Amino acid sequence: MRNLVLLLLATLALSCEDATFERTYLIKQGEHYATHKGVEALQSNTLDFYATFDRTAMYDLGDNALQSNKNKLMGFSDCNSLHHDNSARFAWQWYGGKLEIFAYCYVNGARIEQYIGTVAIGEKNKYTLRCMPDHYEFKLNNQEIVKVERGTTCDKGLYYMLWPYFGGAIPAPHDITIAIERIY
Amino acid sequence: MKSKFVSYILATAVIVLCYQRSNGQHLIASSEIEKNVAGLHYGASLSIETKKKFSAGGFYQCGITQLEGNVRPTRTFYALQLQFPLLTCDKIGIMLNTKTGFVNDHYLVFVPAVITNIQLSPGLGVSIGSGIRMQNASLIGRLYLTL
Repeated sequence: MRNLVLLLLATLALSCEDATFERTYLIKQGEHYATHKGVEALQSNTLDFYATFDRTAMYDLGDNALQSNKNKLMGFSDCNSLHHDNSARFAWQWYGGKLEIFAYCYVNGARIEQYIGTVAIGEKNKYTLRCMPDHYEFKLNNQEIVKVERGTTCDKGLYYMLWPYFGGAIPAPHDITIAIERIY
Repeated sequence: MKSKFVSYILATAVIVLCYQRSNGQHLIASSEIEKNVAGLHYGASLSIETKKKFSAGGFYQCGITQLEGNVRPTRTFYALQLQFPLLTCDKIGIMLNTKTGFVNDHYLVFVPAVITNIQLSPGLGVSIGSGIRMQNASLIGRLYLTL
């Protein structure tokens, strides 16, 4: 018994490192939230992940104003804040035949959107969101960093994760799948 | 100043040890390895355990990374550790273990786990368990000393 337990501990100690985890998020037709939306607290000042959109990211809502509503990809609420008060997320929209990526933040209750770039359907892109003392840094692949000011919050507390969400006002017009690989 | 502080700690430890011996309590010192989605993390804890196997104490954990040839701790985690017995018999106990604390000094985290303690001898035991860390299952192995 003792040997078995020690063998298990040794196996655990020597097991290989695997610091990424991939999950495909599904936003069903008529829904805003993705099927997976568990509770998780951010554990670092940097959120790194790869995301791949497929052809389900192409949609036509028939109205330019609705079409430019930002869909949320991933991010976090800031220290002990609700996400409509202080948060930072990557967002996306299918607009003018392109998949556009934005920085999408709430800063002391005010919404800030900033264009970052475009990505291609089927392409795996790296997203980095860093929480600095006075601003957020958004980076898509090796493009220039986009900075957004950070609101007045604490710096020690709960930073809860925010998951893929469709909309805006209109729910998903069809099933949408996004593959996201977290880097820890 | 420093020697006064060390004396104070030692005196407190002696008082706690005397008190816990007279009340059937134990100090538990443990070292731990956790395999989670972010890799391997190494931890240590010091807890006081009651006769009914409830325990409370402090916990420290970190990952280790090599950056430019230097070994550095990552994802340091200081927590209050609480343990509640779910099922105990003879030398085996199944426990609910919770850790609540801060990662990297800023990020509040709650980590629940179910641990099986196996007492190998009066002063030595091992634990195997599984918890939830960053929304994924983690595997925990622990070696503990009963003081």
